[in-house]
Amino acid sequence: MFMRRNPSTNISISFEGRKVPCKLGDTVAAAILAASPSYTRRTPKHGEMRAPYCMMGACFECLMEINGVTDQQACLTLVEDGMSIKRQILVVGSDWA
Amino acid sequence: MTGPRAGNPAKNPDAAIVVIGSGPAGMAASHAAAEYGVSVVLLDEQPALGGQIYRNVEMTKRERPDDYDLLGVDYQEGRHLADRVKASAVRYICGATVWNIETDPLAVYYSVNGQARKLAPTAVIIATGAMERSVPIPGWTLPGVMGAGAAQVMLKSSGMIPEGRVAIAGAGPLLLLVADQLSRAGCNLVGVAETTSYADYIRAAPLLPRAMRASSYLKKGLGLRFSLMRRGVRLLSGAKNMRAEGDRKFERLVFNCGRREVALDADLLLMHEGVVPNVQLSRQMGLEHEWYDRQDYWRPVLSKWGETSRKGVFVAGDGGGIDGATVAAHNGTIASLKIVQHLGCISESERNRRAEKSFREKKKHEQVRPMLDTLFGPPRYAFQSPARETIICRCSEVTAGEISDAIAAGCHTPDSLKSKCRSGMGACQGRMCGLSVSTIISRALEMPIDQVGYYNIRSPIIPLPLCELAALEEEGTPSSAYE
Amino acid sequence: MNNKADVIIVGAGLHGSSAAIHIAARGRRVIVLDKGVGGRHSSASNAGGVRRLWRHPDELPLACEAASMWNHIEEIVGDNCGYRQSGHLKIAENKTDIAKLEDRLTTMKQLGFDHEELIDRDELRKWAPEVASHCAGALLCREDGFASPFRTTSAFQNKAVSNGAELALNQAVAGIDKKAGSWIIQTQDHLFEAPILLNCAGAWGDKIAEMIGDTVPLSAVAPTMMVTPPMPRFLEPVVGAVSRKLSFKQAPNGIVLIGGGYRGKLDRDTGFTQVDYSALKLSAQTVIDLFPIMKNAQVVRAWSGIEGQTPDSLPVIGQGLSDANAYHAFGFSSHGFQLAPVVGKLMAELIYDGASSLPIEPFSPARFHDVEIRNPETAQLSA
Repeated sequence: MFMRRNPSTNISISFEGRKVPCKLGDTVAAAILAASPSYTRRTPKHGEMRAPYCMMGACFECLMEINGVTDQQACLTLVEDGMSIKRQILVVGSDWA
Repeated sequence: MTGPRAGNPAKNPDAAIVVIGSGPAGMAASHAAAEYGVSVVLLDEQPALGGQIYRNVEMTKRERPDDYDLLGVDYQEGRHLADRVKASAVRYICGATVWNIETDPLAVYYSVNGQARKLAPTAVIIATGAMERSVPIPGWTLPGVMGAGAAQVMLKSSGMIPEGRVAIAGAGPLLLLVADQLSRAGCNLVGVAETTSYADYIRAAPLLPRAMRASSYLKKGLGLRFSLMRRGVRLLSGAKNMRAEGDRKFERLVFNCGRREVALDADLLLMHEGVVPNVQLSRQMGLEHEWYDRQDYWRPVLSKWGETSRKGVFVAGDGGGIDGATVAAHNGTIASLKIVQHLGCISESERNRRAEKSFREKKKHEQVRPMLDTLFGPPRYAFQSPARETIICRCSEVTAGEISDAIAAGCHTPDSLKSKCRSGMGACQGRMCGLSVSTIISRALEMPIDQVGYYNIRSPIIPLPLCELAALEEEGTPSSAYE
Repeated sequence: MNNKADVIIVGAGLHGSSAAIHIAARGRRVIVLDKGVGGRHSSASNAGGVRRLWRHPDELPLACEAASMWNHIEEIVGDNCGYRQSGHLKIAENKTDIAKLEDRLTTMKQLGFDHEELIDRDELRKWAPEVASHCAGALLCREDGFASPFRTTSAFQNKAVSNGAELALNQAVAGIDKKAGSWIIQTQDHLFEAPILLNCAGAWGDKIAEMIGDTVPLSAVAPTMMVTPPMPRFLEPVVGAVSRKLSFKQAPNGIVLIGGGYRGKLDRDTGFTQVDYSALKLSAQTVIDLFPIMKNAQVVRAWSGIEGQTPDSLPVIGQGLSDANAYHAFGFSSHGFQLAPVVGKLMAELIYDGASSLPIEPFSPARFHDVEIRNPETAQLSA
């Protein structure tokens, strides 16, 4: 969905097992958006596909699994070399709480 | 003065003042207070100074001069403020998310690097700025639909631009700015659908002379429009009934333009309907708010110094009402001067003398507001009666139809809707649906929105891992009350 | 609205609504007053536990009757209230805890109750696979469960209205008088009149009691709840612990609710509550100690509701002390949710049959004027 104006990168992370080159200073959400992710999470109720929306920490659409921990705001997390990123997929249905 | 560590409150080792947010208001406020030797902690959730408007400004200048030029002088201005904060004694903590503020006694809870901490300052300045107004249209949850502000963030923080065809839709000064920046960066803009119509321009015209007093804004606005037209970008005014279509991802924007239906095929849709104050913290604290009818948003009730209904708690910048970066910085200075005087570091006359310039400059910049408010008025027609299938609460996946049904079943307050439909109960805590829900209730019951009210916002306003809570560090006890 | 009724109930929360259901069903005219919209505090902000496990023996006759009512709650109030018979566990972390469970079981047997059973380490893991390895066993009540507090409160209110009760909301009681055998209840803008008054005012129950001449000691407390985002399903029963404050469960949609009676700050006059995170530190640690899977779980929301707590942690249920035409049902001390269906029924009996079908003497407001002092430890805070 996005591309770098200057294509040089210096580190890499993995997204769903795929190597994604990126640059120190990128947020995880930006780095993933530059790797055409198609979607980054599924919603708990209906399993809809979603991707980052606001990039400012407000919408929580960028929630992903970062280094094994779920519910992380990818737009507020900076990339680190070797980081493992996964889509957040937990579909539980629509029962009450 | 009260409390176990009574002493000079201005030197409170915890922090005499905690400033939250390092945009123009937060940077100006921190710097102004530090100048008088007051201990200041500046907390910001981003990795660098600047807030959203000046996001990443230092690094962009240093490492990506092309992007720095593209983003223009309004962006570059932020560097001076950042330099001043860096050179001051302000204790700036980046990557710090504030998740709760207690009012009695005053305590600020935040997390940084996986560690939860508590500060007990004498005064707090909330400078958390604005966020983009939600634009609930059918299909706005599809991957490939984003806020126009998000595209700016991508450019500022990572030097990235959209790949493929881009459609832009909505209204407001930022819309054309983003369109222009992306177009100049070489993006393939298939069209800009403006919800602003010619009628809005005609209504706004009489306000022009007054606005001319702050004419730089107008020149910028007209300049952007001409620049886009010169580049051959398709501008469509008066767009109505927008919907985003696509199978599992965004494929096209469809809307009515006069009598015809227009479809813009694109890979990315950027939406923007202006910005509104981010009231999450001030709401969580239970401060008084009022409805600002001209722009359809809530703002905290503030004194002329920016003080809220809780003594010692101030709001500065767009979080108190949308006036832009320049006014925000002045408001930051003004709030700080009031606190510094209150702490006994300067006299009242000195405070007034120092604040006078900021008040004067602020007034000048505010001249343009009536015209902008009329031209880019609230999205009364476009988005206030969302179609039933439109998702309103993105987190809990609640549609406009479900909300209407709950209202018909007797849920007449935002909180009862929250309990019934679970709207506003997800991770974003109502940031994305709060305004829409209050508006829908207000229209359904024909009740003024200030009587409808808003969600009761609960802490933590940013999700807090249990392990962080279990290891909460409490730095100090209150050194003095703000009496 | 005609402001004269047979019974005026103060408080439109769960207990006021439950009483209204049964009184209106007897063909009596009922008006339910509330200072707000009803059920904003304990009724709708509690943990929703439907529990007999570890309950005070004095409450058990009522709780057992309530349990059978919960089993067909839809027939009673027209909605299943999200009720789920999930089981409740009281976890023992060491031998001392196990000994306490054994004592409890002995007491239950002596009193003739058989709803609780002791399960060992292995059986506990079948019920709660993610429980920490040090946990040694638990007391189990298979027939306990939980319901949705909001759905339940709404259902009870709606049923009261459909039975003919009238709700008068936003009517804070300013004063109560007695004239010619009738109660005159004054709110900000109305006068209400009835021969019988029922006080179901929750955390404000002592104030209403005071107005009719009864002194009942009650303190207002604000137990705090925390919730997480949806997590993969890992727990069916509701869990408490013997030696630590904990109430822990996972709802059908995956979110985890954490309670346990850690208290926030409150102002009873304004209804303002403030979560106390210094207190919740311990709550977070308890949850992680008992369920290590929760270490990285996030809290997305915490809140406190105001509840009324008596000195012995038992409710106040019964006839007024200074006037036989006044009745009380309040001060459930954070465990009144399960009892709501039955207490409403007993109040209707007490008022119109002259006696309740189950023993309520231990809950008489008169007990605070006796010398006997009960042990508050035995009544657990985990509704």
